[in-house]
Amino acid sequence: MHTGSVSTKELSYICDSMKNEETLVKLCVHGAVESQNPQLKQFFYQLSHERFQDYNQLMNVLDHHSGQTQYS
Amino acid sequence: MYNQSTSTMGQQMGQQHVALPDKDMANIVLSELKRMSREYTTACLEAANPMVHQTFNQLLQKSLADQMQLFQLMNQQGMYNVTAAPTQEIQKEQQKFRQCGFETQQFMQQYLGGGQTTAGMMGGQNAQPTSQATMNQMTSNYGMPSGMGTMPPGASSTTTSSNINASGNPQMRAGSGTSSGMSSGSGMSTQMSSTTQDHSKKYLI
Repeated sequence: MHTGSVSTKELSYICDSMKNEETLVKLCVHGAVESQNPQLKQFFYQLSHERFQDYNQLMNVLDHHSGQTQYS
Repeated sequence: MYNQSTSTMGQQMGQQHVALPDKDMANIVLSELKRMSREYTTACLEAANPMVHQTFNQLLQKSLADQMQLFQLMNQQGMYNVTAAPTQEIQKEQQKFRQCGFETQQFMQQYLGGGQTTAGMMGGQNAQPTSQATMNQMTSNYGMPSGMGTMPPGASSTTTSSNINASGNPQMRAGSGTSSGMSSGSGMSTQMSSTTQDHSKKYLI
């Protein structure tokens, strides 16, 4: 295997991680909308945006190795 | 019958809006961040590609930071209380592991022969400062104050702060005939050897 390519195991971890990030973003959105505590509300709001960036970071890794850049 | 009961239940559930308490919601997100940290650790350990490894490592650090931030927020809000360990328990463990440290030190000296061997194995001159630092740390950690009651048989109880000079370096015991002023070069091995021998005298008599 070329050292620059992604292994099947790494691809699995990337996909699992993206699923985790997606779930976390949705949980945070729910928390930001439903929470009664202003500080928690603010925290969830910020976290949802930050974790969506992390989702995109993982997406960029996939793009980098797929040879097709559709996401930026 | 089954369909009827499920549809009734469905109507009841549909009518109600379940508001999850803030504490539960925070706990779910906290658990999720902890789980993700574990998964990123595994992913990081398994990644062969440097770019993928770096990405997982960055996301691990971020997950840990987010988890810590949420925990602190929950702690401030009284949603997550932490009980302090009793001082007595800490002291008990401290004594137990101090003894364990002595035994490990003895084990190392028995099989590695102390600093000289280690320095030789690690390629000589470059490895020596580390060896000395390790020795200093060992002395400071296991140089027990007198009266602790966990000294190995025959060990000198004089290895206290009085044997450690202002710069933190261990001083030789009187009569060992070794200078602690050497800093580099081949003389270092001699010093390490003497230090080790001196050290061994303290615990292996």
